[in-house]
Parts: sequence; C-alpha cells; structure tokens
Amino acid sequence: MSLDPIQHTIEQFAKLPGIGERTALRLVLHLIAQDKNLIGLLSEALVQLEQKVAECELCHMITADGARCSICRSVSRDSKILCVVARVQDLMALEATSEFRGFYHVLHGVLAPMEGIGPQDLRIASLFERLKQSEISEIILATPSTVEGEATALYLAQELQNHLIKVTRIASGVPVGGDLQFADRLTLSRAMALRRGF
Amino acid sequence: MNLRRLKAVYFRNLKSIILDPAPGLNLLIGDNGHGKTNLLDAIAVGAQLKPIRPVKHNSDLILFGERESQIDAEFAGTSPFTVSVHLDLEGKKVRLNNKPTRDPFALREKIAQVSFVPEDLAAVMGSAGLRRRLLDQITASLYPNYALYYRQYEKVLLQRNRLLKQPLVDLVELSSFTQVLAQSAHVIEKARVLALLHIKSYYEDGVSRLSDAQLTGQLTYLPSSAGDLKASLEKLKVEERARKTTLLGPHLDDLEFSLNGHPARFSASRGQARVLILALKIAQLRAVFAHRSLSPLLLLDDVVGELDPDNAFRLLQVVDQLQTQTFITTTHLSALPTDWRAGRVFRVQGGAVSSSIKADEAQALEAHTSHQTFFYTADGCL
Ligand SMILES: [Zn+2]
Repeated sequence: MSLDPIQHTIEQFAKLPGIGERTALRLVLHLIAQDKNLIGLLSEALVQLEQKVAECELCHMITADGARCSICRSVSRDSKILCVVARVQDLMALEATSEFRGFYHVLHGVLAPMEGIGPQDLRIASLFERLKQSEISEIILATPSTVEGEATALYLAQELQNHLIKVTRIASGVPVGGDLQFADRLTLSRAMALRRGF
Repeated sequence: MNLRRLKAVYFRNLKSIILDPAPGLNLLIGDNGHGKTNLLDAIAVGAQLKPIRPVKHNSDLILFGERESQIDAEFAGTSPFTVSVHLDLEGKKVRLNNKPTRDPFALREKIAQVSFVPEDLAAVMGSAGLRRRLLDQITASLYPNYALYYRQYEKVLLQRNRLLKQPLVDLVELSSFTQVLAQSAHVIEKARVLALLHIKSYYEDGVSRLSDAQLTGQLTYLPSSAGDLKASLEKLKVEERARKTTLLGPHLDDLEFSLNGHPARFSASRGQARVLILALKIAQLRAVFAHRSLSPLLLLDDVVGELDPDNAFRLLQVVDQLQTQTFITTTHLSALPTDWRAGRVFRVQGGAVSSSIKADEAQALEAHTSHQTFFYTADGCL
C-alpha cells in the first residue's frame, strides 16, 4: 500500500474537531517546511497519549497515573459525597473551583435519543456497582442544564430512588422551567452551593 | 429605538442598497416582484435576525448566484447600537456593536418588532399552526427570551419523539424526557397565557373600534392538555408508543378567535377576519409599548392592498399615535388615505432602492401623473 504521506496526514488532522481541510493542509505544510523537529515530538507525545492515558477504573476520568486517577487515590477527600458529571471537562471545571471535596463519576455523555445515546451507552452500570461497595450518602447530579443533561439527571434520580442515598441536583440558570425574564447563568461554584433535592 | 440606516448586499434580489429611513412612517413603493418585501425582510434580519417570511435555508436569503450576503443596521435612540449579520450557506454570524455575538437575545432585549404579512389573514380560518405562529410572535415580542425557551422545548420534543420511535423504549428514560418536556412546556404555556393577558383589553378595544362597534372579539388560549401535562402524557403512554410521537404539548396548542361569542373559524367573512388580524397586530404593538416601554418596529407588507381604505386609515392613525417607526410596502401611493401625513417614500425597482421625498409631495405628484412612473429627486441615498 503506498499512501501519499502528505495527503494521508492531512486527512488525519482534518478528523479533529474544529479543523477543516484547509487548516489541516496549513498544519501539515508548517510541520514539513518550518518545524520538522516538532514532528518527532508530536509523534512521541501522541504515542504516550495512546499508551499511558486510560479511563480511571473507578470514576472514568482520564488519567495517566495507572488504573486509578489521583482524585480517586486521594485520602483527604470526603468519601460520602459523589458528584456525577457528563464530561471530563465538567470534572475539570468543578475541580478548578476548589469548592467540591468529594469524589466524582464521569458518565461520558448524556442521554440523547437523537444521537442514539441511551442509558447503556453511558457509564451508569458502573456507577451502581460503585454504590454497592462504598459509603456514599449523597450523590450530586451535575450534568449540564441542557435538555439532555436534565433528562439524564432525572433518569439517575429515578434509578436512585430505591437506594438510601440523598440525591441532589446542581443549581443552575436552567431555562427548563426557568424564569421568563432572566436566563443568566450562575457560576459553577455558586451552583454547587445552591444544589437542591429532588 | 429606531432604524437609522440599513445596508444590504446580495440579500435576496437586493444587490447593494442603502436605506436611510425616517423615524416615523416609511413607504416602500414598487411593482410586485421588484423587492419591496425583500427590503422588509432585510430590515427584520437587521432587527431580529429573522426575515418576516419564514425560510427553510439561509441560501433562500442570498442573491441567486452569490455565496454570501451581508446586512448592516444602525439603530438610533438613547443607546445607539449597530447590528451586522453575515449570511452564508453554513449559517449566520452576528456582530453587535462590531463584536461577534452568539447571543441573539441580547438584540431582542434592545428591540422589538411587529410584522404583518398577507398570509397572516389566513390564520383566522386556517390551520392551528398559523394561529400558533401569531401567538408565538406576540409572546416573543413581549418576552425577549421566549424564543430561547421555545427552541429548548422543540429540542426536548425531538428527543422524546425519537425515543418513542425506538423498538424498545426504556420506560424510565421516557419518563425522564416526559418530565423535562412538561417543565419546558410549562414555561411556554405560562408565557403564552401572560402574553394574551397583556393584549386582551387592547385587542377587544381594537375589534370594537375597527368595526364601528359592530363586532366584539375575544381570544381564547386552547392548550392541548388542560392541567398537568406530565400526568396527561402518562395516561397516553400506550397510544403514544403506538403512534410513535408526542401527542400533547404546546406544539399542538391553539388560539381561538371568537366573534360575537362564536368561534370565528367557521363563521367569519374575509372582511371580518381582516378586522381581527389587524386588531391583533395593533394590540401587539400597544402591549409591547406598554409592557416593555419600547416602541417596536412595525413592518407591514402590502397591508393597504389587503385592507379596505377605512381600516387602512385606522391602522395608520394608531401608528401615528404611537409614533413608532413603520415600514409599509405598497404598489401605489394612491392606495393610502389621501389626507396622510408626511413620511419618507422609497421606490424599490429591480432590486435597487431610490429615495426619497416626503409622502405628501409624492402623493401630489402621483395624483398628477396618469401612470405609475414618477420622478424622485434623490437626496444622497444611492
Ligand atoms: Zn478516578
């Protein structure tokens, strides 16, 4: 098989979000003409990404620290509270506020029939596995305040009904059922402080 | 707040135009098919990011053979601002005061719009969808972020309908989407009820005045489900799964026009339907004025052609009273009441706009010419 290496690389770059054919071409030409060193560094970094980064077996956060991420290995956090988020970025944003000292669970998505994403496509089964084996007494549902995020929170709240666990929903400027005059967005840390029960 | 200058490039059949409208009445005159209504659409895109006649694709707004279009609008008032809308086949980019914005509601806070298109007249006797469109326009003009809530409702509706189409439906998942749908629907219904409450007295007064007290008119909101939507949908669970779609909700609500106590849908004459729609538009205008202390842009497409002269005169009187910036398209000035006040006249021909003389002068001029082509002295507009 003889692929044109330039065209082949362009096609790979163009698969990345936010990068079109033209940007991909520009990047590849830059690497060839301006910065050949970077090709080696980039290849190495990408290989490391593939080999060392994995999902944490407990919370499903991405981690390069082995089977469990640094948060899950922490001994100073509150093991009674678990915060459920949809995406890796949401966990990072919450961590950046330093408001929350419990543990996390990353679903890797939200319920979205239009995109063919149902409960079995999210890390929900492992969440219930976790509950069996831990001392968690409160679950905070911090899925986004979108239609799908709200439905996902309601789904989990219903499934959690029979567990003797307090379930709260992160407060937000949710347009769903919100106020007509204002659709402002609260900051994440305030939202966490204002979480409500179901 | 009023439109001081509008530039449109490659928008529908408008190649490149500049419009410097008067703060009051502006008449857009031209033969059909020359671009009068396109000019109204351009104004609406500048003010609300949406044409007055709905389109399926952005490409419908771009001059045939071109790939992009640009609208620039300057608004004057206590806090002047500019809006730029760039349209291409992929979408639209909006700049507010020269800064990119992803939040169209910032614009809707600043400016409101009331529009009339001849198709609106079909709503009284036509399908519920046409009436819902009017109701949504009214609600959105009173509550600037209503459109945001409605878009959200449509999104959860799409998700729920797709879920109902799955061969095996997870009932907990369905109930979750039902709950979100009901929450979202509640906001829509509440807004619609409040909006109707805001226009009620204006509307009833309008019907009476426009008909010389011959008619009484009432508006009634008919939600598809009375009471708790979630509970009602629970009861329809089996039927919904069989029909694979959501059977209740704001997307199926109706607005009933009644005339002297009877549903107008079956009994109104075309003339009566005009009175009702006109009263509705005037009521919308007044309610926006009262509720938001904001004078909306009034965009009237071919209103004089569709209304008899008495009604047209009454409409223009209201416009005059409210001192709201108004754009009216018409084929002939002579269709307007003769004792009409001064406004600015723009002639729209072959996708170009020439301006502008005072309406009374143009009217006098038209009265002295045997055919429609008359001469305007241009005053710097193109
Ligand atoms: Zn972890």
